[in-house]
Amino acid sequence: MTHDADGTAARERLRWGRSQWGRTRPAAWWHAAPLGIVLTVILSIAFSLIGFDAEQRRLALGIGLLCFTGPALALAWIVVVDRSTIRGAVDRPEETVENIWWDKATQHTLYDVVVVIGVGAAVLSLTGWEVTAVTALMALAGLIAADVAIRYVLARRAG
Amino acid sequence: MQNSLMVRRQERGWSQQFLAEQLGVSRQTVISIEKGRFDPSLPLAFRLAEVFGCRIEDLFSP
Repeated sequence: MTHDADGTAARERLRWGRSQWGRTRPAAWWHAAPLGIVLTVILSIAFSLIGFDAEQRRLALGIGLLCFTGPALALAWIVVVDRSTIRGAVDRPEETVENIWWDKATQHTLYDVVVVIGVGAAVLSLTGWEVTAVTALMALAGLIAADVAIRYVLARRAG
Repeated sequence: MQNSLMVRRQERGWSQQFLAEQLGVSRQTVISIEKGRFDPSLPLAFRLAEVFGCRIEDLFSP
């Protein structure tokens, strides 16, 4: 439960929480959406201006808008939202069992990644296959995300 | 670690969700503590003792 700046009125929790800005504490999206859109436009323009020819700029801008909208809105929401006003959010996530599952998942993923990198490097050096750094990094990022998700589910099942 | 959490909670007619809200943690956390799978942190153990009006050692035993 949160209170206004003057400490009088209790605020109802919302599904997406309330903004931590302003006296009226509106729903977080009232501040996050404009901020996210501005951020999307800035990132998309920067993306289209770097590394693209003039004739490709419109296409690059469109792709940038598609790719940056989601992450930019999510980032803006994280910056804006007052976490204590999200319906269903616990007050002390660091003391919950989910935090333990997350710690276990990330720790085990680290060990998995070390093994995968070692085996992958050995295979590449022996076979002579050439993989670009971008491809390797993207594959590694995908592997880490998938591994953490699977490890989390396993830790949850184990209790 | 063994504990008397479930017995004390049921004596009071509290649901796991109600206890979780009192403690500021998730319902899954309460379930895990009751089953002895998850040992709470010291601050959480203090809050549990406060909620049930007893000492920590009354709630938990090795």
